[in-house]
Amino acid sequence: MKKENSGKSFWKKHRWDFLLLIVLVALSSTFFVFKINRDFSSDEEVIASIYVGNSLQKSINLTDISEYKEEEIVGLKGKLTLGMNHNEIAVIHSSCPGQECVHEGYIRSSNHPIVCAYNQTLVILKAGTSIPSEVPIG
Amino acid sequence: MKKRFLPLLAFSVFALESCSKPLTIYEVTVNGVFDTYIDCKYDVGESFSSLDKELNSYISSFGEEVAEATAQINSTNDKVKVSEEMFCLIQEALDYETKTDGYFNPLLGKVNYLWKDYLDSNDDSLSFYEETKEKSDAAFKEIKDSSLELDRTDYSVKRKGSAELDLGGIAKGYCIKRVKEKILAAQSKHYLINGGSSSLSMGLTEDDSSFRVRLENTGTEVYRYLLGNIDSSTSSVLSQCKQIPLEENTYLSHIVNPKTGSPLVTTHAMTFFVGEDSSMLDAFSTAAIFAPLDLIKEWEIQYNLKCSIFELGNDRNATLLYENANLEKA
Repeated sequence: MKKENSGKSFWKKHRWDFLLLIVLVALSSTFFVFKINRDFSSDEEVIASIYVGNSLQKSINLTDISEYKEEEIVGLKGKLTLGMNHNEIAVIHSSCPGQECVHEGYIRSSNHPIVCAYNQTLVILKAGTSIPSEVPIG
Repeated sequence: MKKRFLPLLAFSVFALESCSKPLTIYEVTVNGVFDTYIDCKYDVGESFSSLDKELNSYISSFGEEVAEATAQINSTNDKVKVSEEMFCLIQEALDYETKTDGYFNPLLGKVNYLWKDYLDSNDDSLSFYEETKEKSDAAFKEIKDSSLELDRTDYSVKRKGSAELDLGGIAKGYCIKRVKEKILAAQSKHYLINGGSSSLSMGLTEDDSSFRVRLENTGTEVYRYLLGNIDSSTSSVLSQCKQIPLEENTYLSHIVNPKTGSPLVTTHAMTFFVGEDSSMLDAFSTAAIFAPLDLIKEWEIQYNLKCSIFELGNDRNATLLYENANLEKA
């Protein structure tokens, strides 16, 4: 009986500590899941660069996109259609036989490019960069 | 002002600050001209999408075009038709030969290539040096009897004699000049074009101030200059600080003296020029390595340039010899 009482008093005494712990664990898990899907900070602009062969065909600022938009790209053997939302991009139609690029779905991270080998097309994300104020020369 | 308005004022400033959109800086890095990267960082609002592609394509094709045009001209004594861009580049190179009193010479190609091969070979035997010197002396003599004839009506170039054209001393600067024009045409005012740490062209930094340019290879002394403004600013540096020892107190560098045909390190160790036109600065920073200081000072007045000239110190670092008083130090 005494033991039960001491257990209750422990819980009563530390319930806010546990609550805080749970909140912190929940928050850090959310941030972790968010981070592995997206490696851009909130103040960075996300730029999608689309290469066909080895040459850059187009750069699109995905941060500026507020509603769904589509754009067509001419690959080496056929056309691809890109679907874009705010800070994410996907290949939604492709002329390639395998359709692997379409199955990649939307990408939100620079670690996750979309490659269409058939059309030799590459879609990668990068952050808007900054200009250094001091430059070494010589 | 009443104290109770202070929180309101603070809130307004905070709210306004939150609403201001930070600049978006785009970056294009292309390995385009003579195996060096040209890196462009710029802010151009809405039009960046087409500029990104345009810069990438311009820089990468420019290097190929220079190599192709040079090879064609050097392979024959017949007329060679080139693009308008290549014609302008060659025209500028010849103009700078005149303006620098021959201290910049685009017809040093054969001599440059011989010494480049020597320096790249890692063969430090005296016999190979003597052999290269003999060939170089012979090639250098050919320059006197050689020239280029340019015809603007059909953008053709005709080489007389057997000296070879080498645009290495000016091509990168010219490319940066054209890139700058494209960036300015896109209404950018915050930009930095870095041509492999020898040629820079810049507007303003992201916080609307000037750039600090720091010279390297100056030992313990630090030289920083403020560059960049709304109308853009350009600088070029040429350094002989990376040297290959030949014998005691005799060193070779990658720059050939157009007056002697020799790559022996003499006169100036490093030259730093500031102005507006990056191809002009490229040519003058090369020319000033071997030109006498009095002549360099005349060029400053005549062509509205500012420069710092360094000689080789005892520790083999660049030591300041002359600095234009109007250069803004940081």
